[in-house]
Amino acid sequence: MAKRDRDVRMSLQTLKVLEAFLENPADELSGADVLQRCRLASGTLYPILLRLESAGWFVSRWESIDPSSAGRPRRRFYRLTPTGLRRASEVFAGFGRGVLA
Amino acid sequence: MTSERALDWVDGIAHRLIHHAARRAPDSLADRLEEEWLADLASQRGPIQRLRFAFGCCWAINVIAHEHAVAALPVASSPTGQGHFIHHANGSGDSPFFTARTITFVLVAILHAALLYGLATGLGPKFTKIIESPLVPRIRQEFRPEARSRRFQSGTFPAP
Repeated sequence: MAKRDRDVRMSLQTLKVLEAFLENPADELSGADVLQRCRLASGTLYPILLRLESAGWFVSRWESIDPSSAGRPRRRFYRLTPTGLRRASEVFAGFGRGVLA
Repeated sequence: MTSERALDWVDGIAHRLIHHAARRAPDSLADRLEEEWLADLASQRGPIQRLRFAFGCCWAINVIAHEHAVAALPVASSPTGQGHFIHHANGSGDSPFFTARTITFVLVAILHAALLYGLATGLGPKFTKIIESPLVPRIRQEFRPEARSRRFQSGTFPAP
């Protein structure tokens, strides 16, 4: 399901998600973190995360905890890849924002 | 105690919704999405937020399944007939900046606003003109005592 880099749809919601990750590009954020920061609906957020991950802009990994001992399910963390960081910066620079230009 | 029971009840519904949604996901994503969404559900505060989150996941799965299906469709008219796949470019019918849901929401909101405005200003009086009232008032003639006495004499009007 890998998509080409140029196939990512730049909706306003996608830009919000990218902006949340660009605040600290090295940070890993879970879906709940992004929901809280962007004030998006979960029905909007998760397709965007999967879309960006399949396009190679994000990588994701499971939280390294034992769910049985922690008493809760593992969270899934997303992080910008170097490609994603570069492309997202280009997108915002194209809008005249110049976030990480 | 009652609020705790209500919260448990809402949690149960939210869990079932997420479980149901995840089962509708493509096989390669079902387990991952269920675990991820259940973990994120736990971070939501309050029953309303949890329900909203769970319903959102039900919506998300439609989009994810659609995109997954479109991405996996082979191109029938491919010159080589193999190795070419449709990539989900801009979504079916989506504009570059707004999702289909946003566009639908805006259209419905505009329709409602236009209807309310029309009813408040122009359409209301027009409708009352078009739809004539079934009770048409008629002005009676002025009462004349001589006419009444004539009726008494002829017996067409009963005496009090």
